[in-house]
Amino acid sequence: MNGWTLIGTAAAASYLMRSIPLLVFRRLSLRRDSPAIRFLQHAASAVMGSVIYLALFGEAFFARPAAHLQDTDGLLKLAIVMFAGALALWRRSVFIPLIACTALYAAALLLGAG
Amino acid sequence: MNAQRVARKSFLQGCRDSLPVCLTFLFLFSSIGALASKAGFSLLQATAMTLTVHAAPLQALIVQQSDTLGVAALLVATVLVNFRFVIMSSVLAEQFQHISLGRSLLSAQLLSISTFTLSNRCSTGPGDAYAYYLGCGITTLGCAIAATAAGHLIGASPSAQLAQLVAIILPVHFTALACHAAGGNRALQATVAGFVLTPLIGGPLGSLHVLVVPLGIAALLCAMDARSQGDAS
Repeated sequence: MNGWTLIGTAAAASYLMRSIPLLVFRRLSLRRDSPAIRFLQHAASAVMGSVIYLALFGEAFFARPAAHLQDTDGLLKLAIVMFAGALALWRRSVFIPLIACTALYAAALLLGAG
Repeated sequence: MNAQRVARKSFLQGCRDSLPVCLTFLFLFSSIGALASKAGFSLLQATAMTLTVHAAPLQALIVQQSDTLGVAALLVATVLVNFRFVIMSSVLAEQFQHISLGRSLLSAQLLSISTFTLSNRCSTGPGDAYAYYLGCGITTLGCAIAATAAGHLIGASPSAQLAQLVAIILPVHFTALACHAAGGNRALQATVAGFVLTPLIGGPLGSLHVLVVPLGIAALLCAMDARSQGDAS
């Protein structure tokens, strides 16, 4: 396939996946506390967890989950993210954990912990 | 305050809130631009891909495997990699029911994991959630296109240590956002479960984890909701 065909195919499929739910859910008048909406909200939150995991580790540990505990950089990333979560819940802020944890990770990289 | 002023304020708030995402996109999409240049894609093709596909993992796959990908393989990869858009778009469709169909379809292209996370967080606030979504989406997509073009023109990826540092920004930002997500404890439980189960399910099922993990967790938590409601009544 040439470049434009690849781009066109992926673009069309991606746009359909973004837009079909907009068409479907417009026809259904669901209440915000209906089981279908709650199901989707839970699924979207689970997707977030999945995305956070993949952004940290990719698929490197899929075949051997126990290896997370032997990888120094993996443990450091895990600690940073858990600290970010605790800080976000404690300070009720998004900005503070973002700055604090990025600075902490940068310091750890400079000290050669990663 | 009239509706137009609220919308304008929410739009600008969305632009401001998406700045950490822009920082990550700057590095992420410049790498994709550089990869596209090496794989023989023109500047127009690289930027058009970011504008129309707007999904970094899928774009990386396309530029890295452009010689071997067939239509069927590309479609399967798109469904697997981008399935989360179906879930996110379904949630936003419920929130944006008051927006005309034309505007909804036009702005569908702005949907990304980042715009969804930011918009879903502010959906219960006092502002205009749709204007906020547009602010996030236009800022991040504009930044992604500019970074792709810059990466293509410069043709160099950031150094390994800088890339490592930048790679932590997105998960930390998303973690902080997840802790403030609408839906309280259940949303946080679903996020933690998604994090923990991804490698456990991804091992045996491979790419199918994209479908199985969110749908399985949602089904389980809905069953727990129903049970706790049953106990309460």
